[in-house]
Amino acid sequence: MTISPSLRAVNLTKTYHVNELVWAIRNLYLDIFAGDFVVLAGPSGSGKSTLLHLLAGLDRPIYGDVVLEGQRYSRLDEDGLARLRRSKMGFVYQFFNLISYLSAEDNVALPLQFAGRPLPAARRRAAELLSLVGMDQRRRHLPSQLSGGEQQRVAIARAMANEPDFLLADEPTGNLDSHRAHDIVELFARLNRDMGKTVVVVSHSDLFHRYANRVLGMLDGRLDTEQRRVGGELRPVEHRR
Amino acid sequence: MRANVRALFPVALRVIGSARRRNALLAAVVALSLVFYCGYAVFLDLTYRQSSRLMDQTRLPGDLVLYVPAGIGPNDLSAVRSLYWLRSSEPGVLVTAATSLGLIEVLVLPENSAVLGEIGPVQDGGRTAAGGECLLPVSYRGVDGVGGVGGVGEEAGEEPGGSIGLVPAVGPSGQSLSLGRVPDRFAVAGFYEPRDDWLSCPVLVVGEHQFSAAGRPTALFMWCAHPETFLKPLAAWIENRFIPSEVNGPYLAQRSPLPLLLRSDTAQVWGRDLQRAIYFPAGEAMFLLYIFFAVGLFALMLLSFLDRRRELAVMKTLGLTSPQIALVLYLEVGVVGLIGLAAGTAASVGLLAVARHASGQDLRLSWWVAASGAAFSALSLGLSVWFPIGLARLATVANLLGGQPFHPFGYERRWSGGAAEQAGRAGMGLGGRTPRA
Repeated sequence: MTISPSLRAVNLTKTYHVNELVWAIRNLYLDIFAGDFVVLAGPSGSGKSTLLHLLAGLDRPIYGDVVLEGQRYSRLDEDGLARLRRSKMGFVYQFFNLISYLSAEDNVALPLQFAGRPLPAARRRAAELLSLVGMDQRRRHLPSQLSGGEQQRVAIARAMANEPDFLLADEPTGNLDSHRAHDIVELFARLNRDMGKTVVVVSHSDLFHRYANRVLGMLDGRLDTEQRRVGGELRPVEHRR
Repeated sequence: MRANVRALFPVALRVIGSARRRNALLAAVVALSLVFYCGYAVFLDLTYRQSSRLMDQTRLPGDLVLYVPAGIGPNDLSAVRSLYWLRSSEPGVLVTAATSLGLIEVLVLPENSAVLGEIGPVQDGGRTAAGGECLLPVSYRGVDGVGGVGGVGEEAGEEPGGSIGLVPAVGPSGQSLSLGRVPDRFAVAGFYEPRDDWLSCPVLVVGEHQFSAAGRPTALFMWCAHPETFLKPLAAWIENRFIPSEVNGPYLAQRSPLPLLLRSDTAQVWGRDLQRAIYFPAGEAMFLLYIFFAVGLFALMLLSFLDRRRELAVMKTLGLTSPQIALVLYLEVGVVGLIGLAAGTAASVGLLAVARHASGQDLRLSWWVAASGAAFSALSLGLSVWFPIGLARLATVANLLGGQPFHPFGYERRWSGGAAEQAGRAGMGLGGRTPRA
């Protein structure tokens, strides 16, 4: 039986113009399956974050397409992509990007309000999610009153608000010390393992490798290496271009 | 939609609360735009009221305006001079029934006016006029003998020794007109078709006794440039409408401020001068300020949008769609705009009271001016949101996050698309630099 990928990048190409043509992603093909825990690794400038942004529909490729559960991004306008993200995808930024004037609870309630849920109901759900990430005691605090790790937990709770199938994170531990980074990694692992979320994480560090079932190494805008977990260990596989 | 509003209203309130300074500035700009709009309207209103007051001074009931030249005294040659003077250089006026009946001018002369009285040798009439009889000046001869028909010059009155030629008014039928023939009800002595070029228009003479007991006005001279279109309507109008008591009372009441009685066009000139001198500059300054602040609204909203684009990017990441962005922005400007409009209305009323007190002018602010100002400000606000909404709709999250140039209209694709798309299609790179660690 063939399992069809949930998230697929097809001949994805992205360039930037900074005085000259810069290739961020070159003709990249990628299949991500439901329940995967994928780590995108690679040196700075290899195109990891750009790829993640393209997969999340935060940016548009210059060529190629992304298909999420049969929906082609190229056929969606910005609003269509926003609706898709709202229902199927949670995104976590490296720098948390919490709304500074909203409490942790209201930050988490925000996507629920965008989905049309009234504030009281959204707050109830936000409280549950904050409890899930161990932040129930800090839910009335503003982001400025939280540590980096706590802010990232809130950001993860916010990404989970509309119960998406996919969690995408751009260097979620990049701004945290090792202890807090560990907590965050474990939180992602738990969400993948216990709640069946498909997780795609961009990371410089090896922290996530312990839990990932695929580690994709990127170089020069292409997938350069791939490791898959076989029998509890990550093993290199031939990279498909 | 209702669910959206209910869900997003708290968000909008928090957004408003998050940027108190910016929103206070926005409210202030709205308020100032309303203040200057109202100021402009007030000055415009004052301008037109002032000029129409000048215009009103030229009018008396019955669409007839009367004028007695200042300085006309009994047995005074200046009466004639004034008559001619009025006709030639028209410094003060006579009449402006003109608007409805053609170019009519009316001169009311004192009882013993030289025109009707005995003054100077009658050159062409051959006899001295009896009191109350209508005579018309036809020629003038100065002491040096210069003059003649049509020669009644502006300097006529400056030569006391000069003489004026008068003829009895003769009606179209050829009969001499006298006051005794005036119909009971009308103060009309008759029409006269002058024979001389300089008075080349019909004349209507009105007898003194047809006016009030004060008895000052004795005659109305009317002339017009279009007798064909004038005479018949005038005759009909007199028949039907001209009731001396209605004219004379107000006329007498207005005699003292006669120098202020102006021809309509003179009034317009005065009005325009007044506008140029005071009201228009002030009003136009207000108008320019209003435009400045209305444009400022656009700039402010755009800057506000650019200022918040990171926040907007995060919200778009979380699933905020452009209609929802529009809703939040409209709720925001709605609340801020209402505060600004309330403040602007209060400030307008307050400033108006101060200006009224300081200037002594009758400055008025009508409710519809304030309402239309509020409507315009609301419209400006609405339009000012439109552009940021358009940008938000077109921009990707990556654009808004500032990670790459903001090309909401597909600039990047157009500029690089040719090479990049071909490369993508071919599955190969076409040069350029690949970033390395």
